[in-house]
Formats: sequence, structure tokens, C-alpha cells
Amino acid sequence: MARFPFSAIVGQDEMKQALLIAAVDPSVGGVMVFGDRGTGKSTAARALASLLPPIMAIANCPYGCSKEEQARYPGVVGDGPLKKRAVPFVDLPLGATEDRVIGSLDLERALRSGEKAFEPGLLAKAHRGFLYIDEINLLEDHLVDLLLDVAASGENVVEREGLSVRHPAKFVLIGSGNPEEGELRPQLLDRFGLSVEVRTPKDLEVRIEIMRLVAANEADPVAFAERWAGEDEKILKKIARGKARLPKLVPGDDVLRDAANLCLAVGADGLRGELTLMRAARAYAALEGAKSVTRQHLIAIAPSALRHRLRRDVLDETGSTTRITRAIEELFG
Amino acid sequence: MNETEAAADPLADALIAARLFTLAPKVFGGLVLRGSSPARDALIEALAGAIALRRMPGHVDDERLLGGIDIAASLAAGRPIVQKGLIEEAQNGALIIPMAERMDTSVAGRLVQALDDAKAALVMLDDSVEADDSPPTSLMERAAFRCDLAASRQWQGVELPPVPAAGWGHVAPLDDKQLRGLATTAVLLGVDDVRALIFAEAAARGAALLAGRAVAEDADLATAVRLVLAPRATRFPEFEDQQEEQPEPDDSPPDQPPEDQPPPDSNASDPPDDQTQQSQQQDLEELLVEAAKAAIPRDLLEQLAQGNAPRRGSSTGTGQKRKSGMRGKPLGARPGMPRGGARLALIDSLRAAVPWQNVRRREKGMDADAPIIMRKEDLRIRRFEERAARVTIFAVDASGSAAAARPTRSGSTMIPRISIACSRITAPKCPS
Repeated sequence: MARFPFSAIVGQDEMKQALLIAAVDPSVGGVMVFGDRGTGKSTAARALASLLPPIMAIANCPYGCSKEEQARYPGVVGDGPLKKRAVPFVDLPLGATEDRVIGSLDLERALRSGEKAFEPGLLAKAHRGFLYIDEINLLEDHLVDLLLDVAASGENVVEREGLSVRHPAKFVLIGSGNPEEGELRPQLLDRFGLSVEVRTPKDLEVRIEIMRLVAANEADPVAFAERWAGEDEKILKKIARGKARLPKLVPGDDVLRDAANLCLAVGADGLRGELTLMRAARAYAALEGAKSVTRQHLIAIAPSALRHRLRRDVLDETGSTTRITRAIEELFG
Repeated sequence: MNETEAAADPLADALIAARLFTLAPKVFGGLVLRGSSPARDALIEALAGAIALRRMPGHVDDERLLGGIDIAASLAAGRPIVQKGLIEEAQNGALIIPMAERMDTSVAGRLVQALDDAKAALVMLDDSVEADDSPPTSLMERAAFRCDLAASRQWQGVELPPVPAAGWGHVAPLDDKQLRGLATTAVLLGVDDVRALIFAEAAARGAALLAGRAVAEDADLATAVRLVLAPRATRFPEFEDQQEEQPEPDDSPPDQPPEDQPPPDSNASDPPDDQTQQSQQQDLEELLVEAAKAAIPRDLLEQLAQGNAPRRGSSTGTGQKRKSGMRGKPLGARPGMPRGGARLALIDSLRAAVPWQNVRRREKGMDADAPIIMRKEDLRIRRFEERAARVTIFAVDASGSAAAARPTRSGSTMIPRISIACSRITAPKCPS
């Protein structure tokens, strides 16, 4: 299926924004998308991956490593010339086995030539790209543990089947799930940098527009892509500019204090929330081309950065988003 | 919450614990770092600079953990070749275990063995949130230090100063008074495990070594109590009430020579008499108990205040684990026939057969291109582990009787009965 242009996705602004922030500053952490099926979650993630400019990778490296990683993982990555390759996008199937995810002993080679070789798994494939997991809450617990651990450490360690392999696996984890169908353990949720809630658009006009666009894409994908190429190009430039601007932006003490106060007010404990809020606000400011990080950036990004970190309050049944907006109003007016 | 937070950052103690741990990883067995936080990440990074940390993924298999037959090398050589396991490879450092609270009991068992033989040292990262959730108890009690970094607000500039090269032996063993002080404190805190005392002794000497002293002082003992004993407390120490009675009867028969009678002046005399010894002992114990009180983790304190037993035993939380042939978390394959719902573990069966191929081919006089020869004993079946669903019971007591509240508070009699009743209700509906 031809990819759907990122810019042609109707609505779902919060999700698109979160994805762009993750693209500008991967250190923000992954994105968790809560919501129903058919809301364009995977389309958006996939579109973003194919929108990004190709990366330079060592040609014969099974992990698509960069030159810098060659020094950190001697003997693991290849040593060939650099070659362009598309930003990887790996869709983790729900039924994936542990072997398939982390990689395993290449049995065929072991049998045929007695050679102990590692057959890289999906984690290796996702290096420097995106790993998308639909219905992450339905995934086996041990797989989720494993994925989040690797996503946090940026490296996959395999110690089984006589293999002892350590290879880089840095990727932006994008999870999606419907909280009504089963919940993710809170300590796992906390590992995601941002979370967004998506809803199926209720507006009739919007729904008609979506159908129109999808039909146009299916009828003539090439022409459709061309039609949106300009818009996609703009987004690409925005990301590139944001990346360039990011190191120059240093949040001031006032913004840091705001972040701390907000976290305290909503009861998102732990420093991780604050740091993510700060990083996300900075990435958002960079994306917007702002000269400095302001309270406005912080407020704009706060629901995404904190929503999944709130402790459940038995006495307060209001949704997390409401609790955050209420706290923002109380604190900043 | 914000007011009490003003106290020292938990990272400060964690740093001391980490330094002690690097001093002699195998003596202390382990370092448990609870609470995923930027502070912990920074500490681990600092720790990795001090000793070799080898990461142990949760999906490690026995062969890689303990060592075993190296398939590829065996194939090449035509005879079984043994390779080293992860535990052995981490000999000069420590194994770092992410998400230790999710560790499989079979892996925990292997590690316990290695710890008991002083062949391993573990850095366990405990990400659990619930108070009663933790890495396997068998490992927890074999790890000297446990630090909770969830609330730490420090994450920049975390450094572990290098530990002195002067060995362990440079610090004198603790004297009787000090040993007695530690033991009494442990009793007051309800720490029954003797292992904890041994760790505390080592920690006190280690603290002295870090401070460049040849003899452990009170401060070193307090450090040991804070880091080793306090986190294991099962009750809040009631020191004053019990202890003040004891010196009274001791005071009444004064057997001492008369010249040492005025206690404040007797400090200069070389052999401290029984009484000053007694009061010194008491001072030390008071000091240690105060140190412990200040260091008892807050969540533990809350539990203790409620009269609950501390986190141990996992009767609450997720359901019981049970073996299954069909679904759940994969366990290691084991020899067996694929029947009765058990499925063949193809890879493991092949792996079992591979090392013997050369021998078997020779036996049958076949050439090297012959297909792989499988025997019945090569067959492996897959095993899985499921967790029973969690049942939450809301018991509403509208009788107004005080008696109904009692069994739930003690938590011992009523709850099992309810769970038995519930399992009877749900059992027929279970598919397996």
C-alpha cells in the first residue's frame, strides 16, 4: 500500500504534534496513543517515518548503524561504506515471539556450517527508526517488559541459545491501545515520554473529507503524493529547523519552576515527569521556531507529557486531561 | 509531602551504598535500586564507571546464565564444547538486572545459588510501584543494600568517588560493644535475618574504610544501620520504654570498686567500668536506633503505622502463577512428548539434536549431507506460565458489629477463606 502523506491526515493534531516532537528530540521518549481503532494512529506513525529524510548507514551493517556507533560497538556493526537508507518503521505484530523480537541463533547457518550467527530480530530492524506496537496493552507482559527496557537503554542484550550479543537499538517507541481493553502497568506507562488521546472525528464534514482523501489516494497514489509533496516538504523543513534550533534553547528558571509546580499540582510524582515536560516544551518551542521556551509552550504540551503519569484518585473521577487543564488554570490563570 | 521532602535526597545514601558495594561486591551480594528515576539512571552510569556491570536480560536462558554446551563450537569440533555462563563472565564485577521485580523464579533460584557461593554480585533494578511488589524475596534478603530512588530529585553531576585501594583487612573487626549495638538495633527493628547483621558488620567496616579510618566509629555503625537494617525493619523501634527499665536494676547492685563511683569523672580511667560501659552501650544503641528511625522508608513506615506486616509475601497483587502448555509467558522448554495439549518446541528440539549429529551419522554410516537425525530423547515441549486473574473483593459489612472488622485487619483468617470461596465460584468457568 502506498504510504499516506503525513500532511494529508485530517485532524488528530495532538497526535501529529506529539510525533513531530518525538522526531525533533527522540530523548523525549516514545509516544503512547490511547484511543479507538480507525483513528489514523498507525497511518500517522508510518507517514512520519517515510516523510523523514533517509539516514546514512553502514551498508553491510545488519542494524543500520551510523559511523559513530562503529566505535562504540566494535565487531558488531559492519565496516562497509556509508549508504542511504530509509528511516526504518517496524510494525510489531501482536503474536510476535520473543525470538523474533530480540533476535535468535541463526539455526540454518548453525546446522549447515556450524557457524554461530545471530539472526537480528525486530529490535535490530527498528534501530534509528520507529517501532510501532498496536494494542500494546494486549501484548504479552514479558514482551512489553523487554521492549520498554530496550527502548529505555537503547541497546539490546541477548544472552541465550549460546549467544552473547549486544547491539544498539535506539528507536522511538510508539504504542497504541485502548485503555478499556486492559491497562498497561503504571511503571511501563511512565517510560513513555508523551501520551495522546485520539477520538474518531465526530464531525460529519471531517469524516467525509477523510473518505474523499483516502479514495483519492487509492485511485492514484502517485498523483496524490505529488499533490501533497509540497505540504510534506514544509513539515520536513519544520522538523529540520527544530532539530537545528533545539541545542540553542535552554529553558529558563521560570519555566523550570512552572514545570515543577504543575507536576506537584497534578500529583505526577517523580522527576521523570518534570524532565519530560521540560524536554517536550523545549522540543515544541524548537518546532515552532520560537526564540525561547515560554510558559505557553509548557502549557501547550503539558497534557501530553503528564496525562499518563497521574496517580489514580479514587475520589476524583474526572479524566486526567481535565485534571491537568484545571491545574493549569489554577496555577497560571 | 513537600515539607518532609526537604530532608536529604535519597540519592545521598544510595551513593554511599553504591560505594560500599563497589568496595566488595561479593561480600555485599547485591544492591537493590528501587524506583525508576533519572537519579537512578545517573547512579547506574556512575556505577558502571567504577565496576564492570554486565547486563542480564530477563529472557536469559540457563545455558547462558550458568554456561553449557556451545552449539556452534560443538558442531565445528564434533564434540561437546562447554562455554562460560553469564555469572562466571561477570566474576570481576556485577550483574545488572533490569526490571528485577519481574524476574522468573527459576532464574532467581540460579542467582541465589551463585550468591550463596559468593560467585556473583547483583545490581537489581526494582521498578515496582506497589508496596508489596518486589524482586524475589530470596534475592532481596541476600542483597545488603536497598535504596529507593523514586523520590530523588537529583540527577545531574552524580559521581562515585573512587574507593580507597587499601584492602578490607585494614579495618579492625568490630568490638563487642559495637556488635552488641548492631544486634540490639536489629532486634528492636524486628530484623530477624542474621544475614542482615553480617551485612551490617561489613557495611560498618566498609564505611570506616571509605572514611580512611582503621577502626569503625559510631558514625560508621550508624551508616550501616541506615543502609542495611532500617530498610528491613518490620516494626517501628520502641526504644525508650523497654530500654529504660533495664539499666535501673543493673544500677542497684554496685559491685564496682569505690574509686570509680562518680561516673562523669571516671572517663580518664583506662579500663572502663561496667557502668560506663553500660551507659556507653546504651548511648550507642540510642544513636543507632535514632539513625534507623530516620532512615526507615516512608512507605514502610506507613505500613507499620497501620499495623500491617511489611512488604513480603506476595499474596496480594497479581494472581498466582501457574504452568500452562498453551499460552502465557514462555518458560524454558523441557524434554517431553508433544501430546496432551503440549506443543513441540521445534528450535529447542533441534538444538538438543544438533550436537550429536556427527556421532549419529557415524553410527549409521551416513554422509555429512544426510538430513538431521532426531531421536525421541531430543524432543522438547514448550511450557508457558500464566497468571490467574486478579479478584478484587469488596466486603461490605453493614452489621455494625466490631467483630467483623477484626479478621480483615489481621488479614490472616478471613481473606483466605474468601479466596477459597471465590475460587470455588470461578473454578467451573475456567477453560483450562
